[in-house]
Amino acid sequence: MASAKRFGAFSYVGRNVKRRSLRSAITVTGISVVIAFFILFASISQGLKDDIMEEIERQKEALLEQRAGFITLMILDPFSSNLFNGSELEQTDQYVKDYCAEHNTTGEAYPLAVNFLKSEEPDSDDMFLLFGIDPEKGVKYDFITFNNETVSLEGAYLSPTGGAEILLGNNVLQSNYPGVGVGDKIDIETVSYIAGASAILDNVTVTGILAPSIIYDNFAAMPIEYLLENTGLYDNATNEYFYMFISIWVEDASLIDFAELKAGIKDIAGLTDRDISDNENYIKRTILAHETEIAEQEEMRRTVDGWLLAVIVLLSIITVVGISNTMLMSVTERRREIGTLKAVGISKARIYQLVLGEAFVLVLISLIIGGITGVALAEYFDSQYDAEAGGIFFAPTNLTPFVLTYVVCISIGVAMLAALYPAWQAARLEPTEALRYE
Amino acid sequence: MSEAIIRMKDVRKTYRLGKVDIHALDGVTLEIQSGCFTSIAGASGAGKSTMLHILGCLDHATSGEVHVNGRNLSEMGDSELTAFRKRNIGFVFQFFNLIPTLTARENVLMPAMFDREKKAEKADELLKMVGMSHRTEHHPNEMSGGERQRVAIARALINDPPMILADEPTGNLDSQTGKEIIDLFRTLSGEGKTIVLVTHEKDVARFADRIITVKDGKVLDG
Repeated sequence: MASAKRFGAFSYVGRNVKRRSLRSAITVTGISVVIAFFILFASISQGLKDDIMEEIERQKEALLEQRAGFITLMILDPFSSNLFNGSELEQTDQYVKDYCAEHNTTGEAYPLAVNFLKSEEPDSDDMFLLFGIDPEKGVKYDFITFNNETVSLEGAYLSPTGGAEILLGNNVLQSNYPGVGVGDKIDIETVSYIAGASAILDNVTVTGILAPSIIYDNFAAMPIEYLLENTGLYDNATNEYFYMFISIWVEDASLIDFAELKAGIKDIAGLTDRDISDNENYIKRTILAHETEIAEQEEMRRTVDGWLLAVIVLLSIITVVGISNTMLMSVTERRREIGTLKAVGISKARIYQLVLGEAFVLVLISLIIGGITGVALAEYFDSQYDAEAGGIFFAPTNLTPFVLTYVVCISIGVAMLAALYPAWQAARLEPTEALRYE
Repeated sequence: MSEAIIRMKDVRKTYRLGKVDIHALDGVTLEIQSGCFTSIAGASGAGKSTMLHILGCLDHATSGEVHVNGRNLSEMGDSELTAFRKRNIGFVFQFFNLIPTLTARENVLMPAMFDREKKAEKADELLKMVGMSHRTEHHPNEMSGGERQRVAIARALINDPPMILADEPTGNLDSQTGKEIIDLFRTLSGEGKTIVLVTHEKDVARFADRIITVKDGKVLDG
């Protein structure tokens, strides 16, 4: 049979591995266990790192959001008629855009109107703040966090098209509209500070109710256009609406100088009598908090990498000892055989190949057995992981092709490194070993 | 007369043992003709093995010149000697040195295991020539000593070297089997191979065409 006649270096290496089958089996078992744990630890580490990277990304996004800064220009006395008009808004917007462009960021100015919602309670003179906001800008700049407090919202935000819609704070709802829910229509009575005139707005849809919070409890918001058109905040003489606030949004507030921007607005837009408030300190605080969190997560990632490295080193040592020991025994026992190989003209380089080849076969078999076991272990750990409860382990595993590739590369690399010394020992054996009479 | 395949001129080999110099070969000069069946005889420690090592390109001489098949061995480096050995010298050992995990055919093919040229057919021919065609798939532990030595001789011939160096090839065999092995060498010699056989047994040495006797590192006669 022609196939049985084939004989080459591969057959020789294979026979040598088979020759000491028990020793080979023990070595393969040991390395398989090492590889299985290697895969498990690497996939756990990858899972942990994925979690950490996700958190870092979250924090970075939050950081970017928090860098977005708001500045609010407001009149000193809300009851004076010294409101902002359309051309002042336009000038301010242009100035902000130019200033931000100079500072490698973007920004814009947009109006806010304020009116008052009359309390419905008998004998009460209370009034609630009724903001007029641009629904699109409100969504874009997250108006709910306007005063630095994030609140949850039941229902929906004001629709982009505006109209007869309202968001209600908790106290406003309890005091004026008990029993009203999202989607219901209500009638409201507003008090305008310009002429002291009241307006009645019928059939206003409640799109959302703000969860109880200190700041938003006495707060309601409507689309600005609707509010201005229906509550008399309009100057017939100049044919312009009046705005109570101009809000300025800057994409990355860390790049601008708040004081400079404020001074510039006062000069350029001629708003010298207006008070300008800002949230610079808050932004700085939250940026710091996010940056600290990111640094902590980065530190954790480095720690995980460190542990993985320690595990790799430990497992590599075990592999090196296992392979070196097996191959050294194999070489020592075969001194005469290796001497014979050299005597019949097999070169040093070929002897290296034969010994490294044996180590390669051992690690290849171990990779198959250890690989299957390791993948099964990683899958089991992953199946037992519960994001809420945590499961039997503290992290999900993530067995990516990258993880498998580096386990394979490191295992083969370490095995080859471990076999180098025995291979060197074999290669330097004298061919006269074949002629010794022991 | 045919050309000399081996030429040794004033070859010395000195080993340092502690503070003492041991002169294993002490000015050996000789020539061995191509196709000649030569035995190197001598007592233990006479220098036979050292001579074999040097002729077999397994060791360098301390001084003197050694020419094998027209090449000066002292000018060759380690890897060149290995390649030269492969092409020019076949070894036959006292303990056969077969690889236990390989069959007779695989043992014969062993020196050529890295060669591109496949020599399976040639291995079968050689095994047939040494009378082992019925044992091609057998492992060494399934063979007698004589059979093992026949396989070893087939192995020595796989690369078709002009010269066979045999180190006490009958030392581990009974006299009858030993005679059969010597007959095999005679046949090979008849086919043009140069046979150099090292032995301490005079009964074995006498079957050669020429006997070189070595004593205390010197060639006494032959």
